[in-house]
Amino acid sequence: MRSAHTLILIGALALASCREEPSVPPAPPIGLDLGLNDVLGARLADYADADPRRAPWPEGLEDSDLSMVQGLLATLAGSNPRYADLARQDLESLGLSGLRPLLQCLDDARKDGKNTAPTRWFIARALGPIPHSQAALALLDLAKLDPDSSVRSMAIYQLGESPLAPDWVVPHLCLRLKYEKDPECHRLLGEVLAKHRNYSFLRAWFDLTRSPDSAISTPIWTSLRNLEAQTGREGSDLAKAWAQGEGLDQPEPSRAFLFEVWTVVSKLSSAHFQLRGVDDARFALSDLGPWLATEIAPALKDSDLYVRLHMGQVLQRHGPRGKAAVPALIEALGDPDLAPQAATTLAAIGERAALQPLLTAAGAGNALDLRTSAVQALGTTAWPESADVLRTALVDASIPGQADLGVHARCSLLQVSPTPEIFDTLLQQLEELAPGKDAAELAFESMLQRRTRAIEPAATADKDWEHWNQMGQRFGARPSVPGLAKRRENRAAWIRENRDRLIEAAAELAASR
Amino acid sequence: MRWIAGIIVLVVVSLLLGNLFGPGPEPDPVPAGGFVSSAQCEECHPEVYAEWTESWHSKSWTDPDVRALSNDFANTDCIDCHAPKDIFSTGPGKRVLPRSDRRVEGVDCLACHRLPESMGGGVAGTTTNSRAACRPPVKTELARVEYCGSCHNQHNTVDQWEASAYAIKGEGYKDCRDCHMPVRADGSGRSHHFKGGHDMELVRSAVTLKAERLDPAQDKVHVSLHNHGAGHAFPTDERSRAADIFWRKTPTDPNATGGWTHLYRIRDPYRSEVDIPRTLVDAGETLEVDFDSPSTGGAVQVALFYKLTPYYRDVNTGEAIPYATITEPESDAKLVHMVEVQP
Repeated sequence: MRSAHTLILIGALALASCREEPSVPPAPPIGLDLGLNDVLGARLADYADADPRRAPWPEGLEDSDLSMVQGLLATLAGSNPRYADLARQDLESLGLSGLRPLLQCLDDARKDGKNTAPTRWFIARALGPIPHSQAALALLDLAKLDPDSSVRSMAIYQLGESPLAPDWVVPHLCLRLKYEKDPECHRLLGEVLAKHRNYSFLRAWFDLTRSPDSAISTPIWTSLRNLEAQTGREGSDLAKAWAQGEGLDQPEPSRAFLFEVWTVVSKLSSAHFQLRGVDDARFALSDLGPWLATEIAPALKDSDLYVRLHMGQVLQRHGPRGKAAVPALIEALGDPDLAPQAATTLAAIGERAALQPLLTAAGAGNALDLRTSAVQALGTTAWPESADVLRTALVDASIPGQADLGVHARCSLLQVSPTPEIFDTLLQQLEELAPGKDAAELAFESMLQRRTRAIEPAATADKDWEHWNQMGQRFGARPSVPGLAKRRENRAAWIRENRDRLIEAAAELAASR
Repeated sequence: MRWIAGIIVLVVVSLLLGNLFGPGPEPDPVPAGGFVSSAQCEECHPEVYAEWTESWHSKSWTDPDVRALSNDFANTDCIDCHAPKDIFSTGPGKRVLPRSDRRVEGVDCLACHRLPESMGGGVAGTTTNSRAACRPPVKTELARVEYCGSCHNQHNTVDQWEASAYAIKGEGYKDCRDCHMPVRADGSGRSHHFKGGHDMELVRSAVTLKAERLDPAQDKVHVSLHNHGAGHAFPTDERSRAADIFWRKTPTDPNATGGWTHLYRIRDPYRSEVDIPRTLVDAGETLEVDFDSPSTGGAVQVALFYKLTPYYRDVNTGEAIPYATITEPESDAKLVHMVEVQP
């Protein structure tokens, strides 16, 4: 009996030993030490003493009589010009003692259901010369929120005339560029921003100079000529320098400005839920000067993922102006949560220092989201050294779940190493309005645009580019479903018609790099 | 002593035999290379996957209306919700962040169910199943309103629900899942169709339209629109949705289109639209509005039209047309309800 048991046991053990060992799941990845810390909190604390909202009030200063200020404003807002000049002189002579009564009157005027625009206009005018940041804050508020464009104009103008010359209003005025619809406000926004040597407004000015309405274009032209005289540079040259972040004599931002910058950054943190505020903050920061890249680069290591990611997006919008952040962005390729955005941003900046890190990021073995972004980035930069990595990515895209990688690899190869096969697949993608049609359209667009800058003689390239843009004009006042479909149909048909010539042009362009 | 040794040997043998012929080790719940596409879910969950592919969540990146309203996602802040990073990676109830890959899959299985490495990786469910290859751990957050709110409260829908009677715990309590993810008829789990504003049956069930002459001698028609079925405002989702009430004299041809006069616009202003008021009909509320119509003028029809985008456009030019001048809303809006008032 004993021997029988032993035999069974030995046999069983022998059979068991033949069975493959259960696979041991891989150990969870060790948390990467990214050296994250609360950069945002530290900066806000550093600059807190410069917060314009906490500017001290002069000791012993007595306020002017509220009823007198109300009376002066009533006279000014009235229609009798005989007394208006006197009232204005009286109001402006109040100086700092008139600040709090004026703010009280402004508050009352806003709550009043009647049309108080003239009163608000005179308050804005009276606040301008008062040397206190509370006056500038009130003006900023009017410039941002007043429903009457004449009041906004006056507030913007006074911010430019303020004896404090507050540079910390710049991010807020930049944000106004996004929402402002009144041409005169745009003109004044530009004039104030130019005083702080911020030239983000030039895009809007150039648009307005093209207005068929001379009442809109003439004042803008005048302001543009004045700016050119002051800076000694052509407007287009200034715009190019601003985009590149080169050849600009930038003033040192005040501590109050830096406090304001980090306050705007805080609106991008995880503490904020609404996306609309987030995009406003991104927009405001994106229009600041090249010095911002140095200031915010440390925030790419903030412990809050939201801050890190949005700083990457801001720098992406800066483009070449953000080149000071390139080393920090290359380092960010090692942060799994930030790496895809870092790749996109590096491409937007376009510094050659990013080539090798991007090639590595686009290689097999990396996370799919990083790889996809790096492949797209290599299409943006169109560096010829990317061809092999992109071709490998295209092959790897046949793995289930990686189709996205293939779409973007093809788009990038059109820029770097185009073949008829790549061209035709992208054209088919556009014609069939298949997933990735937007990427295909963008790829053709990118190729045609780069060609206008690179190919000699440029006449054909320019003509193609112009034709492409004409087909891309919005169908109707706003983008619409039939408009988008029609645009793509037209463009696909045009590409099909010119297929051979455009394949040749794409190859010529790639070879010219 | 011998019988004790025998029992030990039997136990050992049975264990060894069990190891030989038993189910073997459980498969790794995370496939090699990780979960990289929702298409990986289809193999085991074909029904759920089919429901999702029919849903608007699967079209959040490709829907032409979205692409047009977002200017082909040039408005980059739309990307955050239309191709979000996995919600578990940012946290339920937190603002979502945009992802960089598989955007074309929109709001997909992974966006809601995938867990970050810091939570053990794999995918989560509201129930677990040890036989399922992915062996989802239970995450009750998936069933919470806040989970939907990461995206849907960007346009205030969850706030509207919280202000409604549906959010009060008790008999009348209903949350997102009760209407938009109901339990399937066969009890096999919850629907992943996510029916909502694109489903006219659901839209019709949300509101009741009434019109009447309160006093036959008066030349006024009184219209009321009661939101009795939506757990949020009608319509919800500011900017993107709108509804309009129109009226016309009853035409002789019952199939006739056009001839309408605009009466009332129901919409939430968006961002810089400071010049329009909020006119949404909150949950449980009733909108009441009158219009002049001589009682001697014959029967009139009152209709509620619903729009997935706020703009009416000329079908030929694409130009936006002011809604107040629209006479044929049928061409660019969906009829929700129509009622007739006799003279």
